[in-house]
Amino acid sequence: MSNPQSITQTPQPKVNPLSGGVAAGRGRSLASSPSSLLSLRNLSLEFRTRTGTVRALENISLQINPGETVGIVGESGSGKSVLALAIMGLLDPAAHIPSGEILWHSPANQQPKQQTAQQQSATYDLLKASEKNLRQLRGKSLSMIFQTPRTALNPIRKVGKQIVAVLRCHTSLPKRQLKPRALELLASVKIPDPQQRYNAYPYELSGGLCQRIMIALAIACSPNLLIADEPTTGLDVTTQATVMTLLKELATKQQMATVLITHDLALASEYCDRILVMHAGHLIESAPTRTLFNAPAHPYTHKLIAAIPEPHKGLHDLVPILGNLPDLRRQDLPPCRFISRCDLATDKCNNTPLQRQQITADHQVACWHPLGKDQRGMMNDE
Amino acid sequence: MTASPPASSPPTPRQSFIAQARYVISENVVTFGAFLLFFVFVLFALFGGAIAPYNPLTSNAAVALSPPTLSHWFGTDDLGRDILSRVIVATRLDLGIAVVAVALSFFLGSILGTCAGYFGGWTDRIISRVVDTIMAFPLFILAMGLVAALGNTVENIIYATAIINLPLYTRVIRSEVLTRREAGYIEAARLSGNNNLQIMAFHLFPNVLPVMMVHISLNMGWAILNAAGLSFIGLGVRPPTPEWGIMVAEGATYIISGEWWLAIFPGLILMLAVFCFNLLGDGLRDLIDPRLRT
Amino acid sequence: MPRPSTPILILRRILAAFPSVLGVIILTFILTRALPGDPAAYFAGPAASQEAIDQIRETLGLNRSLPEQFFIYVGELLRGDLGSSLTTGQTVLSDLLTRLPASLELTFAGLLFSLTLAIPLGILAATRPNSWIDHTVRVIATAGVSLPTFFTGLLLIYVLYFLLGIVPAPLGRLDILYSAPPPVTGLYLIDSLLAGDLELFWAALSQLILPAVTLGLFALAPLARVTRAAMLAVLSSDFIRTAKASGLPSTTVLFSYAFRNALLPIMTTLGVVFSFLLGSNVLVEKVFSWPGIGSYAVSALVASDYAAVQGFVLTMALLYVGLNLLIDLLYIAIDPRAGVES
Repeated sequence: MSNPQSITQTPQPKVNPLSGGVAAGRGRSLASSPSSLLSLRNLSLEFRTRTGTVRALENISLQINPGETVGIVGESGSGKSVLALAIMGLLDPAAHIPSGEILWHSPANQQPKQQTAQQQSATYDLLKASEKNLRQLRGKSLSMIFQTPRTALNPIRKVGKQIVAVLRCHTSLPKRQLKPRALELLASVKIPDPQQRYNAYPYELSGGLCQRIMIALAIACSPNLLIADEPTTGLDVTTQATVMTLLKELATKQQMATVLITHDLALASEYCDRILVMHAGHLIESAPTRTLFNAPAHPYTHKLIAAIPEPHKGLHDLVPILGNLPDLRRQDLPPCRFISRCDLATDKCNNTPLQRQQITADHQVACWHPLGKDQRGMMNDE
Repeated sequence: MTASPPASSPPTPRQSFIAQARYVISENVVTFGAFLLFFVFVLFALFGGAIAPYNPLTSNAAVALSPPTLSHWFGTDDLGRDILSRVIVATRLDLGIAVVAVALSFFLGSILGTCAGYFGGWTDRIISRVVDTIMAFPLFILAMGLVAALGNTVENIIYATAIINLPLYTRVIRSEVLTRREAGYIEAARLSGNNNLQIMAFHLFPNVLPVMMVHISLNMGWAILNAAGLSFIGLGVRPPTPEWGIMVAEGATYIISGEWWLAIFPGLILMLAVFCFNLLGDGLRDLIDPRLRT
Repeated sequence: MPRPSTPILILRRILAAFPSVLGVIILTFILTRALPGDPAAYFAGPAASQEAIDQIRETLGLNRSLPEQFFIYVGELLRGDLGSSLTTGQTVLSDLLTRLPASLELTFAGLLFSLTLAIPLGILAATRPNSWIDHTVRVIATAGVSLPTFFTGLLLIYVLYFLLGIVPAPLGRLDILYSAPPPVTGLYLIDSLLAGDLELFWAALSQLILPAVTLGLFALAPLARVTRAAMLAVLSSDFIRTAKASGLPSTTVLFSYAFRNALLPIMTTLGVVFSFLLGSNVLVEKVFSWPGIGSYAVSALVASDYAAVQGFVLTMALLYVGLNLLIDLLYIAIDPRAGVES
């Protein structure tokens, strides 16, 4: 049984997958940067279907730090939602993960029930964790909210009772405190008249209210990380703003890291500290928000930003990105999946496996021909 | 699993037809099997008398109640009649009753359903009420009451079965017509001068037909079961006419003393026929619109 | 847009049953009075003299106009007058009432058997797709609807009684050695337990098993199929994903969340299944000599005992309307969206 002390005292992150039989069985790996909350290393994922194997994710590596808001943006089909489901362990049975790790760095006092003896923080590879352990993490340390909030709530149960169910599962609150706590949560997500709404059913509530109920469900146990998968798609613009502001406030108040998944680049730019850009299952660029918008390095990111409608742009200024996502079932996918849509592609892009280039300390791009300073500088003039 | 055409030259029309047929069959082996079985039953129905080894009505007291042997594959009944022959010949009656009943139901139900769906309003309300009233009865029991009221003949079995099947067709066609009533091509037909009857008959109905094929096939199985059930309790067919239901009823008294073949063989063939139609219906449904699958 | 209060919904649904009842009465009226031929001759029976026929025509008012006859008919129904049986000599009503408990016991036992098998099988098939259980359930679902009820009964008798001897002879509710328990509900299983007579209970149960299984087998197929389909649909829905994402225990997700939602289409199917159950009841009663109203109707049919048959049809129809009403009320209790104008 490995000594948890050694994990936190390790100065350099070391990859040591086999640290003893029991620990390996529990899915512990001795490597992750202690300041991060969630690290993905070289995660690949495929779906086995009757028409072929879909390589939905390839070599995704990223890191989420406590308290930050990270945006994951990309077209539909880029793999953003799949990535979120993989982290939560909610994938379809047809999904298969050939390689990679999802390391959850559990802060002190947040252990799954078995670990209560140890007060030290520990790291778990979520991919190797048992379903039982995952269930203890989900909803308590790691939460997710989804699109279409109305259908995401149990239609035949009162919404208040649904919140109580989560509280009962993860906390040790005595029975008579469950409802008051649920009412507090409803109030904290700014639901008017919580007492009446407690007894409401989802079909009686608007989309915005339902989304706030979902948020209440997700933050009920003050998780360390909240993944929000397109939380405002389908809501009108005013409600969008309310929901996003609410999320931001909660994140600050509870020091919760947030991952915002969206196809709306403008939305991400407004609320995220950092942005990760995905394309066809690849993570192609990662940078702080302002850097990304002022000096995007990947040609795709550049085109995405150019395609954002703005009041001063005329219709002819909106340049669509030509082409489509490649068919991810093909056996002969090129190393860079943007090749067919890229103006700067060369033979090197076709032959050499992609590698991440570090442009600055916090700006990475997966491209052999990242936009040079002069090209990036042009962004400021537009 | 496509059969690939020969690598060298493009396939001739005959070759590609065979290749395509082979593909369709390989994807739906079970349905194809059911279709073959259906074909066998149709043969029995049409030419049963010629195929049967013995005369189904000839009694032969000497071999009464003998178990299955090489000369009598299904054994003989209490009057010495060959059960295999009786079972084969019975196909015409059982299938015939079901086919005519379903056809009547379908015909009448289509008219009622199309009118109800197309015209709406009071037409719809009245027709729906009538259909709902029929559905308020357990259908088999309503059939019993109808035969008791109309008289105990085979024709009345057919009418009774047709009436209890009516709601199914009326409702399905009504809902299909309702979904298509506002479609663009109906509007176009109206604008180009078709009157209501022409629209219903030539534009709406042909589009509803494929879905109805599925329902008809599935319904046939149930109609056969119904007809056999009615004759099992003594309605319609009288001895010595061979019919699966009545043969099971006649054989029922002998089961307890161990002469199982009188009831079991007709029952098995009955089951096979119903199963065949159900498989056909399932296969047709998967071919036409897999979304209908429950 | 909250839905109207539950008592109002219940009242509405009960009121909605009245048109059905009216329709049933009208249809049975047509069957008994308004069809071609001379109804009086039907009621008098095949052995009646012309005088007897005329007598009946007077008594039943068959020479009046149709609307008048209808009111006479409704009046008779309200008084519980369903005519007299030619074969038993009793009133049809008393015949039916005496025999009804036997049929009810059989139907409920069959339904219980069906549900106890179908629902777990359906749930298992849905939670373990493509396993052997899943394939078994699918085969049952397709083959089960092809089974002629009377044939299955006979087959079971042959195998389990004649070949294996593990069930008693199919000669009715009780072996002749035993006498019925003191009647409280009319259901032998309950009455024998109430009287504390365990031996009688087992005797009644052993006679009930085979007919109940035969009856239930026919309902097994559609119920298993709809349970599997409903569970599959619900398990892949958004709110189950949310429940899982909240880390709720798997039993809670499966039963509290998934199954309760799947119950809704299952209950809708139950209404149709009842139609088949009540119809198959007749066949099963004939095969097993079960002294219920089904076998009563069959003997009445053969003997052209007209009033008895029509009394039976009316009773079964009203029973069916009542059962559907019950199902709808249960549905209202479970689904908070029921009754909301969308």
